[in-house]
Amino acid sequence: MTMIDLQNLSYSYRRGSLALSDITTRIEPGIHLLLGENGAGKTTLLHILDGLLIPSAGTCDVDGYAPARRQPDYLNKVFFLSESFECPFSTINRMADCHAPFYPRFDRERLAENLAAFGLDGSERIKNLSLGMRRKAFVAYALSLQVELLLLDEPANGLDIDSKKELRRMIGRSIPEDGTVIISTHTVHDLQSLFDGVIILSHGQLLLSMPTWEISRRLAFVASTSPLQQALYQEPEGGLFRAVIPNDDALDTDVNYALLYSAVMSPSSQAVLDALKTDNDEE
Amino acid sequence: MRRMGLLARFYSPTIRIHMILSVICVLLSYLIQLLAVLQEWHLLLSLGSILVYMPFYTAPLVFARYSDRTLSLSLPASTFEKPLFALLYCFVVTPLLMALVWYCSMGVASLFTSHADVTTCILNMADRQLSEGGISNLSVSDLNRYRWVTEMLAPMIALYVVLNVRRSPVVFGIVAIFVTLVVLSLTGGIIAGVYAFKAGFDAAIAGNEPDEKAIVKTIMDSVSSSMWIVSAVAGVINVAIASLIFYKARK
Repeated sequence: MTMIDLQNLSYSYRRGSLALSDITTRIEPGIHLLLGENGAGKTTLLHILDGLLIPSAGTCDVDGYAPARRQPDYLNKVFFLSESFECPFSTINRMADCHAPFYPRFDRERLAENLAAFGLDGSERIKNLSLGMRRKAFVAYALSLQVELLLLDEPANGLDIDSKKELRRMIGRSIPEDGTVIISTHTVHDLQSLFDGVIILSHGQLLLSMPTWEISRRLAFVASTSPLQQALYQEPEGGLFRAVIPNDDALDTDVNYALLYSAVMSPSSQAVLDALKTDNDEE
Repeated sequence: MRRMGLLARFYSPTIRIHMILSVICVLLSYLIQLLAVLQEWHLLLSLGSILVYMPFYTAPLVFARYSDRTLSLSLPASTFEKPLFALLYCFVVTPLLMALVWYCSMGVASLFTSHADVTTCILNMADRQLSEGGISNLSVSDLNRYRWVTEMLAPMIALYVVLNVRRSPVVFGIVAIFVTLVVLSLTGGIIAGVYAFKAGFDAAIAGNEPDEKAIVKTIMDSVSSSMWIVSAVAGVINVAIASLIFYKARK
């Protein structure tokens, strides 16, 4: 079970800019969506979890490991696929030969299966592939490593509509039971149904970190032809008003992450956060 | 050993390129030096000796090619294993490969010529020139005895740079090699210049005309006697940088 525990985590770059400020949260196993505006600190957080950056203050604990110590026993449980990932190997099969042996749970059959789902077989020269095809190959590879903590930065970038659907299926079937995946993406809609939780950062501060089931228990995401009085936040879209309302009637609605993000980032964010927090306190 | 094997596998794309280029460089260098010895084309000797060191100088670049630094940084190997592998590759594997190619070339050439051992031929030739000119009785091999310690400086500094620089490690690695070699040459030049000036100054004080051969002899003798100091300083710098490589890997 990969449990991530962040306590008063802060990170500032050498130039003095504060990238993360006093983040405290506990992330349970599952697939988590990481949201935030550009420069919110998403990539910094992923780098800290991958041991690439050392927190300036506070602690980051993943199953008892401090990622900053970069112990091999920890690093072989985690893989970070950055948005600008560049592969030093000529083909994905070659990468599987040279890089995957460091990861004890790597599954070659799954790699073949994942690649086949994207119409690849791993022998294609990476430099000859289009940007989208490269991305597919890297995501297929990352998922086949079967690591306990997988960090994906914009995995759906450059993928066509069908491939995004396939990616959703692939992530769903490739994640080990005890695994945790954190996906940083701006294209929420493509992977909507996957997430078990959401983390929202803004200007280096944690605005929200909560499991999906808890959010849907406290908030309902509805659409109406006219503005709703009880809406905590609403926005017009295609002739409808999409709204976030307190889930007082225990409605069973899917969390609309894009709407939730807009709500949390809007001037009425406090009302939304209070609605989530109040319920917490009652518990 | 298994972990070192895994690291060798990880770096295999660049190791393969470096090894192929190393074999070509050493072979080419051997052929050039053999030709220079057989034909007594002394100018070619410099070219040959520069070429033979190229694999050694450029070995750190094996660890610089990875444009996505996150992949090598987050590789599940300890902060001790990665620098150890890099040091072993640069200062053990590469020299061994160079020696292997050199002696194999010598073995093949010895079937055709008695001058196959070009290193001995070159050293003998240099010693003969020095003694025939009445300049020095010193052997060139005496002067070169500790040269390997100073030769390690350029790849050691380059290795430190490529492992720690955040952008363009190849470019910075090449710059580090070039700058170190230039600084070493300048240092050697300054030391020789100081001795030459001192020899000329001593001759002037004694009221003698500066004798070119005597000055060169003084330089050779002085350089020879101070060679161990230069080597010791270079050795200390090498150890310090190697320690720094391990230390930085933990950061």
